[in-house]
Amino acid sequence: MSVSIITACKNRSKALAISMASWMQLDEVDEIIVTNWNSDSSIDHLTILSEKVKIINVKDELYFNQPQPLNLAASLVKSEYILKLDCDHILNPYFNFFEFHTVKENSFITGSNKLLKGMDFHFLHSLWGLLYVKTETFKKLGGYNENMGKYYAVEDDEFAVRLISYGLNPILIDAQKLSALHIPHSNEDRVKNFESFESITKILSEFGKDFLGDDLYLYMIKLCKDKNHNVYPISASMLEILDLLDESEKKFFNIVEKFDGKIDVDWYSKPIYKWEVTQINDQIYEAVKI
Amino acid sequence: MSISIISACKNRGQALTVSISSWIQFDEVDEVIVTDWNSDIPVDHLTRLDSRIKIITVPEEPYFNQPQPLNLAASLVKSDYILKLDSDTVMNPYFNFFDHHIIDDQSFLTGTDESWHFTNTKPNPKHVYQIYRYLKPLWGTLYVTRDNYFKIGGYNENMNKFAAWEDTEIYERFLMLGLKHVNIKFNEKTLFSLPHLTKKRVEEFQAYKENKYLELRIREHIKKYNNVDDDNIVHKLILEKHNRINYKKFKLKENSDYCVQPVVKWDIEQISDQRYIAHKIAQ
Repeated sequence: MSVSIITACKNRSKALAISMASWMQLDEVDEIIVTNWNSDSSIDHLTILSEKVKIINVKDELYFNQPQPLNLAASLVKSEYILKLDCDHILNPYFNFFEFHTVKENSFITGSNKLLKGMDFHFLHSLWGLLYVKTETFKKLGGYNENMGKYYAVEDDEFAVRLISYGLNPILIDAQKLSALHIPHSNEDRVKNFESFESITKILSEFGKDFLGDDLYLYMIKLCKDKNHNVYPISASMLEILDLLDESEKKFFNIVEKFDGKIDVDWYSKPIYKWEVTQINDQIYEAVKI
Repeated sequence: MSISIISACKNRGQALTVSISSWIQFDEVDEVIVTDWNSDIPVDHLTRLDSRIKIITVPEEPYFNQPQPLNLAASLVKSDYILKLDSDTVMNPYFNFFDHHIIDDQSFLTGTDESWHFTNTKPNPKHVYQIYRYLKPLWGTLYVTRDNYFKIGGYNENMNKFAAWEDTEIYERFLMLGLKHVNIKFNEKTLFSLPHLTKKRVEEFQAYKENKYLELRIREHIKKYNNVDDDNIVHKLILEKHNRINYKKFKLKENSDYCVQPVVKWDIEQISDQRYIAHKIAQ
C-alpha cells in the first residue's frame, strides 16, 4: 500500500509544521504534497522534516480556497491512495490511522459531520474535511470542485456526494479511535483568508448584525456554508445540521434527501484551471496558472 | 523574558517529534533541553529541527523515571524561566500559552487541579472523559522561575521506581516555599496532550517491569469480580497502585523541608553545539 498525503496551506505554517511532523512518521505514507497558496512567509524550510515532503509554491493568489490547491497537489501524486488532510490535522503517533482505516473496494473514507460535543468538538469535529480515497478514483471524478473557491467550506461534502453518485460507499472515520486529531483554533482562523470574508463582513455591518467576538465568525461560517449549499448538492444523511433546520429553511438547500446507496448527480467536476508546474529541486516546485 | 523548556523521554520519540515541533514555534522559547533516557531509538536527530534544541543522551538506563532526567536537563538551563512539559504535550500554535499564563518570582504554574474540574465551567458529566483524554495529562506541567526551581532542589530524585506523583510532590514543596499557585487555563486550549493508552504511562518503570505479579493479580481480580478483561483498565489500576505507594512514601509532612537533595551527580560531556552525553558519577 502506498499513500500520498495532500494538503493546502495559506498562512498556517506553524500548525502545518506540527502536523507534518506526525504525518512523516508513518511508514504507509510515501509522500506529503503541500500546496503553499501564497503564504506571507515561505514554508520551504519544512522540506527538512523528511524527504517525503514536497512543496508546491503558488504566488500571487490573494485569497485562499481548498479545491484548486488540493487538485494541484493531487496532480503530482504517485501513490495508489490519496489522504487529504487539513494542515492542522495531526495523525496521532500513539494510534496508527491506517490500522483503523482501510479503503476497501468500492468505498472511500471521509470525515463525519456528526456534531460532537465537549472537548471532542474541538479535537475531533473538524476532521470533517478528511478524505481517504483511491488516487485513480480521485482523478476520474476530476477531484474537488474548483468552482467552490469564494466561500469557506463545503467542497468536502460536495465531493463526497459525487463519490457516492459514482457508486462508492462512504465510510465515516472512526474518530473515537483518536488516530487523528485537530488542533483547536478560533472560528476567525477558518474564514479570514477567503475572498468572501470582506463581502460578508460588509453585509453583516449593513444589516446591523450585532455579533461579538467568535460568534461573528461562527455566523460567517454559517453564511458561507448556506451559500455553497444553495448551489451544490449535499446528502441529507451526511449533514446532521439539517436536523437543526425547520422545513422553511431546508427549502434553500439543494438536498439529496434520500440516501440509500444511490445518489444521482453528475459525478464529474471539470477542473477550471490548468497549471504549469516547474520543478525547482527534488522537493520544491513552482506552479503558475496557464 | 527567557524560557527554557525541559522534558524527559524514554521511547516516546514519535510523540516527542510532534510536540517538539510545536514548542519551537514560540519566539518566547530560547532553548529546548530534552534528556533522552536511553531510548531504544535515539532522538538526537531532532536537533536538526531547530538550533535551540539540545539533547542530553543518557546511556545504559534500563528503567525510566522523571525526576533524574528532568533535573539533569534543568542543570543546563540558561534562561530565567523553566517550563517542564511531557514529551507528548503539544503547545497549540493558535493560542499562545505565554499570552494566557504569567508567573513571577512569587508564583508558579502547574497542571495540578485539586478540584478535579480542569475547566472554568463545570463540564457536562457525559463529556468529562474527554477532558481526561486531552487535558488531564497536563497535570505534570510546571512553569516556574529558574531560581525557584533550584531553591527547592528541583524534582525529588528518590521517586524513581514507581510511575508518577513527582509532579504533585514538587507542587506541594513550591507551596511550602511560599509561592502562589497559578492554574493552567484549560479552557483556552493552549496546551493539550496526545491521547494514548494507559500502559504507556507505566511500561518503562522499574516497578512495572519487575513486578508482573501485580499486573496478573489485578487482571485476575477484575475478571473474577467485575467480569472485565480490559488492558487499559488493568493499567489504570496499576498506575493507581503506583500513585498510592508514592503517596505513602513521599507525602510531605508539616515539618518537611521544601528543599530536596539530588541523589545523582553527573559527568556531562558536550559532543556538539546541541548534543551532550551524561554519565552518572559513582557515589
